[in-house]
Amino acid sequence: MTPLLAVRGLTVRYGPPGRGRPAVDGADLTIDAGEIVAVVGESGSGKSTLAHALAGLLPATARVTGGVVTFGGERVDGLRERAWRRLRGRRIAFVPQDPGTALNPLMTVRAQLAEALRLTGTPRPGEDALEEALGRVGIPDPAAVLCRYPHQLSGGFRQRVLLGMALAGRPALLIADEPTSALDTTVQKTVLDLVQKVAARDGTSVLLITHDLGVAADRADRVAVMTEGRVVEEGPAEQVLGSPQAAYTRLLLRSAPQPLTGPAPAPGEPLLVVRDLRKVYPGGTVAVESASFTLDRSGTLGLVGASGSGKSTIARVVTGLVEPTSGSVLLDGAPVRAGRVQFVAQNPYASLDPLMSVGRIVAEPLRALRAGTRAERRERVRRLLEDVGLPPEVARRRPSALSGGQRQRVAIARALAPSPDVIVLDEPVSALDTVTQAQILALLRRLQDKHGMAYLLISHDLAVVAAAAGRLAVMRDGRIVESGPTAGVLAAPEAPFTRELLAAIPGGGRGG
Amino acid sequence: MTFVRRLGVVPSALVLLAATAAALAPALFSPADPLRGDLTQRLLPPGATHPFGTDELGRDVFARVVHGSAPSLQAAVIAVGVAVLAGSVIGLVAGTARGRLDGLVMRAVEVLLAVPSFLLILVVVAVLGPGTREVALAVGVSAAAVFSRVMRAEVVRVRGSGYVEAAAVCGTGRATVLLTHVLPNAAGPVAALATLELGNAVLTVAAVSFLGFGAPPPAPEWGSLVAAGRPFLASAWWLTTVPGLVIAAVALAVNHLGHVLRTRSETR
Repeated sequence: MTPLLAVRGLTVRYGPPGRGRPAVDGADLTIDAGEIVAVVGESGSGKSTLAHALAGLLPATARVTGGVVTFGGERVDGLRERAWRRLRGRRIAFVPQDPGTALNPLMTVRAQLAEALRLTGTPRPGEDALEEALGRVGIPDPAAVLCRYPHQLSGGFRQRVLLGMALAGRPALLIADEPTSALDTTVQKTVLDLVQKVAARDGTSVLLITHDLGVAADRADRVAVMTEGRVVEEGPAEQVLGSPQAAYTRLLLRSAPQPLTGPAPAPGEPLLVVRDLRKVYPGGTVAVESASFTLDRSGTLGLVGASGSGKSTIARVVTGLVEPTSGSVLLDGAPVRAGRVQFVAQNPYASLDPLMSVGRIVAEPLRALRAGTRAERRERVRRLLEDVGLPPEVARRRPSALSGGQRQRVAIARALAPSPDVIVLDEPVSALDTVTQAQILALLRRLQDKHGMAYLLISHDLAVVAAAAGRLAVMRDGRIVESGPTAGVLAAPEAPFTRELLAAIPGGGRGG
Repeated sequence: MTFVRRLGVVPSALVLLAATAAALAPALFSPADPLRGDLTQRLLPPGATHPFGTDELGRDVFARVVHGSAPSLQAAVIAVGVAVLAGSVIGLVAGTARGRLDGLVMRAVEVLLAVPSFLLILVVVAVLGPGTREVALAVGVSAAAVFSRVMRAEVVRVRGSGYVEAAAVCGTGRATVLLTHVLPNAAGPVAALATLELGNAVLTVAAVSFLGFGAPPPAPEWGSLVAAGRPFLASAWWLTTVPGLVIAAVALAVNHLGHVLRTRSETR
């Protein structure tokens, strides 16, 4: 049987000829009819370029310099845009990464869906056809959603609409480029369930691009692992993930967050005590409602919840960025003094001033507290950079010269500078690749052992929290619905929402 | 397109260089006295001894144009300086304070924007009296409103960024955050607008002094040179055309260089 899609030695380069290594370097891949194939890799591994090349969506700066791609037995590499347009939408569909930007904000769902249907060969799609297209992707009330604008829909619904548009033409192949990496874990689960269901029903093949091994393990029949533009391993999912051959696959597998094992930490001396915290934003939105928790000295408390659950508001209240409406935050029984609680934000690309050198950034809390002379501060910055595993010459560089992981290390060094009692980590690794994520989590653990500060770790990802926090609290709609030692909560979750979160962790499906 | 743009860089730079040099050391270009006329040499067309001809009092037009560049350019630079400074301060205050002060200040700025800028300039000049510096101030005040809006928008954007939040957690004082984080990061678009405004200011200053509000008569200034040549438009075209061309050339050169600099900094 000829495979639906066969890629042999595909090479794609960016920029002028003969410069740099190719983004995709001799990649081989086959997808049979009805099969789900996952391509796993870090950012920069070339997996997105591969997906775009197979959909004929490469930017003008990219060139295919080698290889053969056949789709349904016909060559499609080197097709002109006009020929691609006949294929795309009808035979090959594409779902982009970010549902937030992929829909036109000025057009209703109806107009955009009708356009997609017209392109697949229905000249004037009727109401039935439109509603059916949305019904197929599990949207409960299609008639209502059709009249909405994208901003009136949640991220999960937007991705479903995009999926509905992609699947409207009953394509033979669906290419999904990180379709759920911008979504919460629970929403991710429903969207991926849907992809799997529709694919099975229509016999559509799926090429699933993801950085998450767990997602690949749960959903794919076969898995290809990419790094530095090359496919280093390819085979049935059980084989690749069960007994990996390539060193890189083993590294990826090792980097997946593992829940802490061993006995629950003995309750220590309480350090940070939060009582009956309530925060109402102007306009009446209740972000946090009667939240109480205790953070032990040198302990780690994980705070888990979906986006909008109020966990970031708690981080802001604890760090003093936001005044609580009522309730108290006490550190050692007293209000928090400047410098005692530090903060590491989610996005290392936004949390460092692009115009400052790394040295100045790290020294900022020291300058604010007027600690030491200039020379002492410089020496302290050098030691802090060493602590977080960065060479001293980084101090002179700007953040733009650093990778995401390095930037997060800089942010951690800044938080460490005034030797705080508590560091609030707001999604510290969610913008990072799996391998970098594991490195940062290990670094945080090492720093805690060395300096003995407590962490308040906030994340939407239960797996990350389970890998780093001894105790955890689960938040939903502004309330803490469950809390306790991590191992206990994971073993016997009481709140239904905790069970939901637990079930949504990718990689559980096949004992990953 | 980029080729054409690059083609214009050298001539624009030369024009600007010549104008600046003329403003700094006019005697280098023209040894003739711009104020002293020779009545036997009245209204001579451009020629070997008088490259731009002479006016009705026998004064060398080339000397007058060269000596006029100092007040004209100075006024434009001062105008932009006033606009950037005043606009930035207003925008910084409004963007930082938010709330009622922000609303009050920005509504006032909108009223300023609603008045036609030329009318506003004339009102300010009428209050301050004529003179090069007064004209510069008036042009600056009328342009400040746009700067304050851009600055406020940038301040609001930067204030919400992660590094400003991080600085607040570090315990950095509000004033320090403003000066070390907000201002430098908000300055880019304001600087870009300033280059655009400079060409505009050259034109506006010339226009106001054309109307007679600039330096008093014997002193040469580009706009007033054009105005002074008007009665002789039919018989001595060079009196109006030459200063007019100089004004146009300088405005074009400034705009073009500003545009190139902006696109360069955007693509970087």
